[in-house]
Amino acid sequence: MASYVLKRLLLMIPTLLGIIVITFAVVHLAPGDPATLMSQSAESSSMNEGSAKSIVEETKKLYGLDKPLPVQFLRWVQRAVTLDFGNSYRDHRPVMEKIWEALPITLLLNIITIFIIYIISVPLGIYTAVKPRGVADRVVSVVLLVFYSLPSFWVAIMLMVIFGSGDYLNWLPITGILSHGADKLPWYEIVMNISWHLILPIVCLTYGGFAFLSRFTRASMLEVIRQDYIRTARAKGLSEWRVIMKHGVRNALIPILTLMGTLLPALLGGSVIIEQIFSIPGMGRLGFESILSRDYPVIMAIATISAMLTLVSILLSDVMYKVVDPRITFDKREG
Amino acid sequence: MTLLQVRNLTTQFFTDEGVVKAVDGATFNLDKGKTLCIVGESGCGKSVMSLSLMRLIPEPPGRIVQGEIMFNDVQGERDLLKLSNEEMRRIRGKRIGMIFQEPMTSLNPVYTIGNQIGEAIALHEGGSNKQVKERTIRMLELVGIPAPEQRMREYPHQLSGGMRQRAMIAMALSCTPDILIADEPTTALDVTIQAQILDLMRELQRELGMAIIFVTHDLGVVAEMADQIAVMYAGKFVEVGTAQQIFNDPKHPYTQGLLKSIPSFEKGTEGKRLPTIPGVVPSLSNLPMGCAFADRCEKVKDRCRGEAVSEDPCNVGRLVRCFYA
Repeated sequence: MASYVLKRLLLMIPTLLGIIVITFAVVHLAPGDPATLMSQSAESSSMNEGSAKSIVEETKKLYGLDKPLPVQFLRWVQRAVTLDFGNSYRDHRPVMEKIWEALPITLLLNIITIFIIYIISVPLGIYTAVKPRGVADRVVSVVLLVFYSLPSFWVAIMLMVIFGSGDYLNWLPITGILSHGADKLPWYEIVMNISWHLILPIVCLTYGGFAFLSRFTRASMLEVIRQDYIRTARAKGLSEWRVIMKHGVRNALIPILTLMGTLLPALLGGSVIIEQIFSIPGMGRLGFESILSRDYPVIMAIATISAMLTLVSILLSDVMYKVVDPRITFDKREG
Repeated sequence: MTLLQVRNLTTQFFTDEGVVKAVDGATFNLDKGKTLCIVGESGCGKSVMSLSLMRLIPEPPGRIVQGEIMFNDVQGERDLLKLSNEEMRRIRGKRIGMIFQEPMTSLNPVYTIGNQIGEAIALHEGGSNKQVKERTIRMLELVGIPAPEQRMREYPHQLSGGMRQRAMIAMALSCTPDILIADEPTTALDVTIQAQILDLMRELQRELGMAIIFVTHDLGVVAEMADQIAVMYAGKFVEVGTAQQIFNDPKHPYTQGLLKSIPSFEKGTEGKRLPTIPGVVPSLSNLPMGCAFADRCEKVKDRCRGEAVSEDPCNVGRLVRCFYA
């Protein structure tokens, strides 16, 4: 087991390198570069063409963008191995600092979201699988389908109009995660204030996720319920609850667990649309704005960290398989 | 002593294609410590029969529409079909154990053998963890699994097919039931293992004194195990008798056909074609009014098709569902 994990960790190095090379190339070869973008924004303040050009050249030199791409790449890698991702082109603050500001917000938002999705979807899926094609099953599947079909940007705006604008109700805040000046309050009031701000974004992030996961659980559970060992469990005299919860759910959860592996990178990425609509300064918004302004250091840092987390989470879900399913072994086959 | 009296047991499945009469008016007795074999082709309702006795028919689409299953043990006589679900659960695994055809899929892959056997013991007998564990080990020893303390910590996939079926038997017998229902327990095993399992079942029957209902399509197995035999065709018992009666003096044309189609090593049979019963089993959802075997029967007459056959029209003295036996 330990040797397997070690082997997988070593295999990550070339994979990660490949991802970084491709990301670096794609980002740098995309049309538009930060220097030109900056001079364009300065152009409005009536500058002659010559000085604009020299500004572009100087900016390029400053950031090292005048060097050939391979050289730029090597210089970037050299610093990145010490976790120094440089400074942002936009506000010249260290990239890591910007990420450390945005990450906790996105993590908080997404962990709550995923927790709510799982805590509701999995029991719902099991429940509908135990009595398939019953009234409850049909009602649940129609409601979830409707939820699934509603685009989140539309729902976000409707919720803002209804609950936050003051036109109808003025119950909930609609921007940011903390009221202005609330940072001076005692900690429990800050927690309350943040929760208050998170209600609408979390509703928008969760409602669409129920459908997929609960249908997935239902399908997995239906498959398990018609297995012979469920009949054996009933023949033993176990109560229906024990049959379903002990012998059914444990087996049905195996495929659901793999889904968990894909969650970690999603946790970090954040939702661009929802963070943008609710003006939440999270990772989604940071990434989006960095791409628009060709802020290479920030883009590269986010891409590298996401790639690393993705690889780790894939490994984690493979190891998790072994934990829940005794049939899976990482050791070489005997005989 | 009669342990089980089944009267007119009828199980039907209500499907889109119509009502499937999987078990149609089955009637039989089972004596304490004896073995009843239910024989028939695939799809004749044998498995539904055995699941009906345990009330494990998936509902819907299935339902036991009528009949009674009188079970007579130390607690007195009662009709299993009239018990509440709760009371029935106390019968399952405790008074009636069951083993199935496919020992691989019948054991839960994510729990150890010990856990699955101990679960039944803890449920019906109670006791401390240590007592449950000791009894589990005793059961594994009883069914001839070597190194039981180590085996009980293993998962089903780590055991061979024969070992798995032994573990299933240990589980079914862990609370010393009065009846063991075995639904084709040897079909998925190869022949030498099959013989071992049959020996084991007979041995345990002598030791523990339980009655066995053995469901199979293999007449060789029947010859080894049976005290009583019930031959089933298209959901109905067509002939019931002692092993001697069925093998030496079969009355129903279907039973006769089955016995004739056993390969024989006697002199004079070499090079000859093995006799078979022509035709196929009729669909259980569309059974004829008269005898279901009529289309395949050599002795068929007009009366067979037009009239329902009673249990013993020829007064043989036991159930032989044929007008011309």
